[in-house]
Amino acid sequence: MTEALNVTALTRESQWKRRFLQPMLRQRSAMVGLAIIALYILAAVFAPWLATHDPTAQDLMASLQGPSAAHWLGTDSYGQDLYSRLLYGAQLALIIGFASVAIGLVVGVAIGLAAGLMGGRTEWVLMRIVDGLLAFPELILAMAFMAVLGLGTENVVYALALSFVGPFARMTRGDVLQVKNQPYIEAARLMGLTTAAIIWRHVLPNVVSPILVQAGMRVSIAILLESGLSFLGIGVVPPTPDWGLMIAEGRAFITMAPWISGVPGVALAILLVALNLLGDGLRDAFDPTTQKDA
Amino acid sequence: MQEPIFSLLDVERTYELRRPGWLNRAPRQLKALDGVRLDLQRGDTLALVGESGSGKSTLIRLMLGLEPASDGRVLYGQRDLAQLDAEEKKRFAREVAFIYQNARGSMNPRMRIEDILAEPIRLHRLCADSAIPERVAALLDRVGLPAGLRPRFPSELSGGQIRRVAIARALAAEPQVIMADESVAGLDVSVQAQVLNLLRDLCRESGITLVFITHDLGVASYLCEKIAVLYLGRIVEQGPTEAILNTPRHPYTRALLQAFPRFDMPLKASLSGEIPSPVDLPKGCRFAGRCPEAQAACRETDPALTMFDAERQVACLFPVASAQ
Amino acid sequence: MDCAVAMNLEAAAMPESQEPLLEVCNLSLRRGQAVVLDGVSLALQPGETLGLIGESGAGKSTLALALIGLLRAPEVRLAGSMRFRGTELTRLREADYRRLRGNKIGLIFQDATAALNPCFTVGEQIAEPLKRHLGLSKWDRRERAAELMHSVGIPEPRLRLDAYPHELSGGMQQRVMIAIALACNPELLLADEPTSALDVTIQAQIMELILDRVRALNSSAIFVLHDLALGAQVCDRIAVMYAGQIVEEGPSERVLTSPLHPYTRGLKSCVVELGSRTLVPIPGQVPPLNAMPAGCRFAPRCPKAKAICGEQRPLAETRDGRQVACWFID
Repeated sequence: MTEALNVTALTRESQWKRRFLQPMLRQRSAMVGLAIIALYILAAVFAPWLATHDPTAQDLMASLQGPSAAHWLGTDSYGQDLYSRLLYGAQLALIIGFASVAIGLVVGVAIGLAAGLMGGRTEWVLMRIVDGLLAFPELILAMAFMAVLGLGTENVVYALALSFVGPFARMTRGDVLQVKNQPYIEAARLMGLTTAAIIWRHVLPNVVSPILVQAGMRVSIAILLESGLSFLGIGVVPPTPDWGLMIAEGRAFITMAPWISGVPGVALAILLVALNLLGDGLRDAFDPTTQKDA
Repeated sequence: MQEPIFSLLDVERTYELRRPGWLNRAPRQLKALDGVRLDLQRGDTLALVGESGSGKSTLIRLMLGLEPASDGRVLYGQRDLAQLDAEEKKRFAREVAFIYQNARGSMNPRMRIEDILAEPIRLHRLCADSAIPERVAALLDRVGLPAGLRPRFPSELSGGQIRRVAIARALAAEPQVIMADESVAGLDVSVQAQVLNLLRDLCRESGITLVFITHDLGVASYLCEKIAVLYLGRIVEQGPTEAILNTPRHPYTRALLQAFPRFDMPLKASLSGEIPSPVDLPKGCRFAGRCPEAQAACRETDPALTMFDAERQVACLFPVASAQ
Repeated sequence: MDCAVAMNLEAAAMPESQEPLLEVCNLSLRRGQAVVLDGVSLALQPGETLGLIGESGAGKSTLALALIGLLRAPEVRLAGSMRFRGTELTRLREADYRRLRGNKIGLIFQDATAALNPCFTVGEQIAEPLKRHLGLSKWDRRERAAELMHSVGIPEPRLRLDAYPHELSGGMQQRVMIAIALACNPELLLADEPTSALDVTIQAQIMELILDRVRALNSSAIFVLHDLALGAQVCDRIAVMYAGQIVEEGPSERVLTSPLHPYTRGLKSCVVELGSRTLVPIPGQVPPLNAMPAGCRFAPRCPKAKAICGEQRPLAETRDGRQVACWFID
C-alpha cells in the first residue's frame, strides 16, 4: 500500500514538473527575462549592503560628476550617488509594483466574483462602478487619486491599486460567467456540494490562472505608471530615491550630465522589457493549447 | 408489487419563448415534455430513445431535480422531488448519479483524476480519509483503468478513458440509480463495446437501476430490458425491449426501426419530412403530420399513453396490428 | 505491386472493362514525421459506390481530402499516384485542381453547419460553383439553384433561396450541402460522414437522396463512414482502413458478412446491432501516428499474429473476390 502511495507522490511531483516547470523552461526568452528580474530583485534586497553611499546624502561639492572611482555611476545635481540611488530605486519600484498589483487583484477579483456569481441587480451595480473606473486611462485615474490622497509612496500604491481594480474585476467577472455555465459546475451541484465549496474548489481555481498571468504583466505597467507619476511630480516626494523622480531631476542637465537621467532611464527600460518577456512566457506556458507534450 | 423507485405522473415541462420585438404578443409555448407517465422499478434498466426535440434530455433533467416540472409530479420513492428538504436532497444526491454526455466537460479541468473520484466519497463521508486512496484505486480497477491515471488531468485522457472515469465517479457514492446521457455516442466501435460491456456487467452485478438516454436502438437493446420511445415530448411507446423491437406497435417506433441501419436490410427511408419543432404543436396526435397511417381522428384527438397489454403501453389511436 | 493486382482484379470483375474513373496507386501521405496514409491503392469505376470504413484516425477523411486536393505540399508530402480520368492529381497545378474541385469532383462535408458560410444566403452558396465553373448568368444561376434545391427535396425552393443557413434545420442544411456538391454534375462525389450529425430517420432520407442523385447522374461516389451497417446498405464496394492502410477491400456484402481480415472480423464482432448478445472489443489501441509498428500495423492487436507479422508488412492478396492484406488468411 505504501509503495503505491509513494509511486503516486513521485508521479505527482513529476507531473508538476511536466505541466508547469517544463513549459516555462522551454520559453527561452522568458527565462532571460526571469534572470534579469532576479538580478534586480537581488539588487533591491541587498541594496543596504551593495550601496556605497547613503542614497539621500547630499554632497554639493561632488555634484554633476561623471562615473568615477568614488561614485561608480556618477552623481546628480545634489551630489547624491547615483549608483546607490539606483539600487534603492529598484527596491522602491519593485515594492510599489508588486504591492499595488496585489491590492488591486484582491479587491478586483472579489468584486468580479461577487458580480459574476450573484448576477442580477448586484452584478449590474458593481459592473457600472467598474465601468466608471475603466472609463479613464490608468495614468489619469492614478493622477486623480493622488490629487485626492496627496503625495507619498504609500498613496502611490493605493492610487495605482485603485486604478487596477477595474481591469481585474472585469476580467474575473467574464471568466466567472464562462465557468459558471460549464457542465462540471452543474455536476458538482448535482453531487450535493454546497455553494461555498463549489466556488472554492471549482470556480476559483479555474478563474485564477489567467488572472495571475495578467497580474504578472500588470507589474510592469505598475512600475511604469509609478515612474510616470513621480516624473510628473505627483508621485513620491523627493529626496526618495525613485527612478521616475531621478529622470525628472536630470531633465535640466541632459546636455551637461546625461547620466543623471540616462542611468535610471536605462535601468527602468531593461526591467520593463524583462517583465514583459516573463509575462509573455507565463501566458504561453499556461495557455492550454501550448501545454501539450511534444 | 414493489413500490417504484421513480414515478412520473403526467409530467409537463413548458418553456415560454418571448418573441422579439416591441409588441408584447403572447409568448410562444415550447412544450418540451407533455403528459409523461413513467414508473421505474428498482433494478430496471430503461432506455430513453428519441431523436432531436423528443425531450429525453429534459426528462432526465426533471428526474434529477435540475429543473422543476411545470405540471404534474416527479416522485422519488414516495416523496415529491420539489418538496425535498435539505437532508433528503443530500440523500438523493448520493443515491442518484448522473453521467453527462460531455464527460470531459463534466470534470473540473484543474482537478486530478484521483481528486475527482475522491470528491463524492469525501462529501458523503463514506469512509475514513485515510482509506480514500484505496477506494479510488478500487474504482479505477472496476472500470478497467490503470491506477497510473490517478495523478492525471482530464485533458490528458482519451475519450474512452474519460467516459470510464465518469462512470467510476458515478459509482463512487454507491448510488442506487445511475442515469446516463448518450454515454457511448461518438466513441470508436471498439471503445464503445468496452464501455457497453462495462455498463452491462455493472448492472448485472449490483442490480443498479439504470436510465440510459440514447438515439441508437442497438445500444438500447444491448443494455436495457425496457425501452421508452419519445417523440416531441411524449412517450409514445413503452415496454420490454425485445417485444418492442420485434413487434413495434406505434408507427413512429416502427419507422425508427426501419431507419436503423442493418446488415440484412436494404436502405429505406421510412419517414418523410423533417422533425417538427416542439413550439406551438398542432391539435391532435403530434405524429399525425408524418404518420403513414394517420386518419381523420388522429388530427383531432391527442392520444395519451395507455396500456396495450400487460407489459406494453402505447400512445396511439390505431396501433400497428401485427408484426411486419 | 498491390496496384497492378487491384487493377487486374477490377478489370476481371467488370464484364465490360472500362477505364477506371479513379485510380489510386500506392499513395502515401506524410505529415511531419507521421505517415498518415501508407501505400493506399484502390480503383473506382464510373457509377460505382465505394465505402471507406474505419475507426477514427484510420485516415479515411485524410484520403478523401487528399483526393480532392485539399491536402497538398507543403503541409503534407505525397508519394505515389492518384489518377482521375487519367490525369495525375499529385502533380497537378493548383489552378488546374481548382477547375476540378466543385466541378468534376464534389465533396460533402460532415458538419453542414460549420461548412456553410453564415454570411451568405443558401442560394448564393449553391450558385457559387455554377458561377465559377459553368459561367452561368445571374438569372440562370438562380433558376438552376432553385432546381437543385428541389432535386434535393427542399420544399418551396424559391422561397428558401434567400434563407441563411442558420434559418434551416440540420437536415435541410445537409441537403443544401448536397446541392452545392452536385451543382455541376460531378463525376466523382466524396461524402465525408454525411449523416453522422443527423437523427436516424433523417439519416435514412439523406442517404437515400444521395444515392438517388448519384445514380441519376451516373457518377461514382466514395463514402467515408464509421457505421459498418450503413456501409453495407449504401456501398457497392468497401475498403476497410486501419492506421492509414487498406486491410481489406471488395464487394461490400462479402467483406462485411464474411470478413477475412482479423481487423474486419474484430470490427464486426464489436459493432452493436439489434439483437447483439455479446460484444467482443478489439484489445489494445490504435498506435500513435508517429510510433507505428514495423510490419503489419494491426499485429500488436491481432489474435493471429506471428513473428513475421511484426517484421514484414503483408501484401494484398486476392482471395474470394477481394483484396486482403494479411499473412494468415483462412
